[in-house]
Amino acid sequence: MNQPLLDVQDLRVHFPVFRGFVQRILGGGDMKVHAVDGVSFSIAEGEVFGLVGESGCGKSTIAKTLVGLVRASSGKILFRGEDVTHPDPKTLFHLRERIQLIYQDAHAALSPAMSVGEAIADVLRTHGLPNDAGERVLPESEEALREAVYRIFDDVGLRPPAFYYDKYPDELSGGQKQRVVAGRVLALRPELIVADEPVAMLDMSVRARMLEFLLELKAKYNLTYLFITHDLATAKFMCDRIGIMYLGRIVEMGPARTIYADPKHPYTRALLQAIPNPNPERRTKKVLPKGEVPNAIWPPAGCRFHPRCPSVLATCGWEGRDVIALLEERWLTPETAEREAVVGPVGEWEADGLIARRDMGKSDPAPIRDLIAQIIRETGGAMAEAVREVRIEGPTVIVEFHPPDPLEPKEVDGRIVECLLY
Amino acid sequence: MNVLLEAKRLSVTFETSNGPVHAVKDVDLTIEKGTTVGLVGESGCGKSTLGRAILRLLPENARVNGSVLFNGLDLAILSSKEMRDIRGRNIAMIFQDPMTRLNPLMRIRDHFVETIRAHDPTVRPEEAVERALKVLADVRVPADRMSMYPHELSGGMRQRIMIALCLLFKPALLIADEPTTALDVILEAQILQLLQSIMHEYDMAVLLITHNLGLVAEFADRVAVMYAGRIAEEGATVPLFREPRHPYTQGLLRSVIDLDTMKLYSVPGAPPSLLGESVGCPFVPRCEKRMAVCETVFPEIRLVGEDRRKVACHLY
Amino acid sequence: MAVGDARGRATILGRFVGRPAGRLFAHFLRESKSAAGIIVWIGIGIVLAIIFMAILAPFLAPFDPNTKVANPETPPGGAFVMGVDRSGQDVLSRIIWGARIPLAIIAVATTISLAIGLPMGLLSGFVGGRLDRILVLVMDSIYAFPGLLLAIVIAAIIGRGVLNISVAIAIVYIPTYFRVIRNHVSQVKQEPYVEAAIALGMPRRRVIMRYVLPNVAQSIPVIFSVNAADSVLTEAGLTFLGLGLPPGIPDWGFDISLNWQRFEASWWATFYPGLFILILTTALTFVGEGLNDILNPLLRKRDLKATVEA
Repeated sequence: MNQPLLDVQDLRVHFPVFRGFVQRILGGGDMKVHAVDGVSFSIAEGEVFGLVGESGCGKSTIAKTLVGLVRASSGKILFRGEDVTHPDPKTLFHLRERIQLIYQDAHAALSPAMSVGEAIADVLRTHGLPNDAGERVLPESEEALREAVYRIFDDVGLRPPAFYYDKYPDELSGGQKQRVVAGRVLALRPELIVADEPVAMLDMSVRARMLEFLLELKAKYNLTYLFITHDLATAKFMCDRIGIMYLGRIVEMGPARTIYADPKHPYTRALLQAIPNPNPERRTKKVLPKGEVPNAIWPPAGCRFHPRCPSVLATCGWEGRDVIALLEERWLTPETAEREAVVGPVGEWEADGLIARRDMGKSDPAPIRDLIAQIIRETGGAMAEAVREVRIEGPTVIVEFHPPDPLEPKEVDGRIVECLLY
Repeated sequence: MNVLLEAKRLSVTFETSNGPVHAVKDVDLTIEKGTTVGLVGESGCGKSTLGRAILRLLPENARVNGSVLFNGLDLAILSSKEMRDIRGRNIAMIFQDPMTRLNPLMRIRDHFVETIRAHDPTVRPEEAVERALKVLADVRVPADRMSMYPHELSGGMRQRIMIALCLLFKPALLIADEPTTALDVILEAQILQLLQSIMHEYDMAVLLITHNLGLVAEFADRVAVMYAGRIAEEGATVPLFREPRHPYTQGLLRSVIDLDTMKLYSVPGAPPSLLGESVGCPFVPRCEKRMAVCETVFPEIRLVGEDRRKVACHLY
Repeated sequence: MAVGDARGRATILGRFVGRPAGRLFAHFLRESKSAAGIIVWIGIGIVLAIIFMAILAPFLAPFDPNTKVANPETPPGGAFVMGVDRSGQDVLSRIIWGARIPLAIIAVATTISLAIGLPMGLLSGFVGGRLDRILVLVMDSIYAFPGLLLAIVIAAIIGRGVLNISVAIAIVYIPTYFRVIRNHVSQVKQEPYVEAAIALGMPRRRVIMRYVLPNVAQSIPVIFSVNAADSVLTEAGLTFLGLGLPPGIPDWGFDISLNWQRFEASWWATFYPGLFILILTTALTFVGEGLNDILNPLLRKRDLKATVEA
């Protein structure tokens, strides 16, 4: 059977940004956070698929969408071929018996007012105990329920189970709580578990054990994992295949070993380089992307990584905003700022798609045009190549770029990359 | 003399309703001018408490014993006013979560002006702004951020601004308490690069407190490993990583997943409670190499090997 | 983790009272020796004393409160410990019997407030949206009225009588329950464990009752006692105006209205009822504020742990 367990197709999840009444009237209408903006991947049964990326890339949103906590804006989610993108309440209830979520912060995921035994018992009461025939049966008595919880505690390594039943979350260590969370999820006997940074909050000396534990569970219960993390080392250890996410899209995807051995996408390369290397004898000079991850309300044009990419090309998506960023960075040095003061201040420049413009009002635009053209020439590189024209229209100086080449995922050397370098 | 800061038999005990909690026990730590010392350990080992003890930023129920000599001056016996002078001027500190360390109701410009004038009321606001701009340029933050409020800025930018605030008076020592733990890996690398360049430019020593061994390997000249409130091992970075001597350090290094080798290891058991008195070596329950003497006698620090590594272990 | 006597007691209590309450109680017992704890005990003690006084009135009161037993306006002394009022009735007996009405009204009123305000707050906070907005608007409007004034207006509309007065007072205090619970619920709703419960497929009702309610429950005793304290004053105000009084049973507020014009001549007849109103209010306030100090530091304790933990 070659049907993947989970098949996500062009998933988009957009959140409306709450803007006050007055703000909305003043400008721009409604804004949306493009948390997930066209993500496609599939997970085979028994696989560990990793989604790796920094905060804000959308991986946690995907996790929540898969378990029905968040609604997909568009796209499809297929579980064993069945379309579960917008499930009705009954379907959702049963879907949650098949896809479940393990949280990053195990302590926060447990109600402080409930003992951990009760927390698991509650799940069993709601969904019933899975019996050997694969059906779910409501427990006949309190004792039977307790027994079932004891069995689960045993499975997750909390022994003796009777001891742990009445404990409250604040009486347990991080690792123990994480096991309780795992047990609670296992009570449903899911097929797919989405693990959202399960070891991020654990100490290093305990992480390895938890990861091993998760792998043991996988083997024992025939689980499939979607493993979400920002830690590449963990991902390499745990995952068969990974997808690297940046600002709502997957930029590189393929077998973990292939990607780590030879990362193709500049972002993947940057991530790997940035990891602090615990070997002091091999301190290398790192080439890091500049700036920070931009906000997901207005993602950069073309390739979203282009403003920061060390290997950027002229066709990657240059736009008006990049000129402004250039000026800002350039003028961090006070001397340059003074010398080129007439072109500034930065706030006077306006970005409009492929164009950056500045209305000079009464002043003569010509010297500004010349100076900005010179700045761009001096900067050189892909950006300069991408400029189509620097011109004057009335009182306004305009810098216009060529439109970018279309960006499509391609298969390169055994993995899929979305980058114009290939 | 090259020694900038020297903590001698420093202890911090918290008086709680459950009894005394010995967060830091008898710690000796030396930081030389212009060098970086990495203070590593897991959560609960006392490293943050130690960092705060130097600057006397501890809550009311903390009892501090021992001395902290800064250029020969004992910080532990200074008056509150004298300590306030030292803070921000001679020794500065940056914290883990840049989100909450800036006053949300104050513009960035005001943060700088206030800080400068707090230490030196004679400075005029315009001068203060000029000094602020210089420092901002050093941390690569554009000048237009001055008029913004903290919530309008990204996390990385806020951390840079915090660093800038620390640099205003060219402190001799910067204590960085988990400065990048809340940041993503690329941002972390950027901030660390920034700290490195600033260190050289400002001739500043840095005490880097972190649980991330990779950071320490990349950044620190010397490393002190803490466990259960005590220093387990201390020495120059390269030899310590190459040949860790204390069983805890060995376990810790093995538990870092090295991307190249994919080794996997974790130290069994859990760190002990810091409540109440303890006997013998605190690592005993988790130590593979424990001996009879370890349970009853606490191993004092001894110097081992050519590199004069400090190790608190009976094996040596 | 420290294990002490309190925890042992808690397990026993826990089986009795129900788990979350048991833990709370244990914590409460542990904190009893603190300043806040002492205040709470004092408050509870006084309230209990007044309740007993009211119950045992037939046995405790030296005289019948509605019978003339001496010359009007006899000063305190001798058989009349608190003196005699302008109608010749023994003030002490009227004080003892006079505890019944306030206590009854407050008991009924706060119970109604809780029974209505709590579920509404839970629902509104959890469901949010338009329902929430409407309810908050309604509740805030009621809340904006000065309590006594509103109670008077409601009493004027629905008429006199003990039950009616209780209802009037209840309506005045429903918004308080509503607000505090609703706000707490909206906050708890965002907590990861609630999200986790939803992700596990818990039906909404179960999430509210088992995951949200236990975690907002700690606010309730506090509101309850502070509300009760406030209701004492509102009740006194209403009975002062003569509303809601059954014949034959005295009431502190009413007594004040009876005697205050004769304050220079017989101050004791006004003073003692006023004093007891003050005592009851203060005692309930002690309970409320003390509980607040005790229960809320459950959060403060986490902070201390955080400081210690590195």
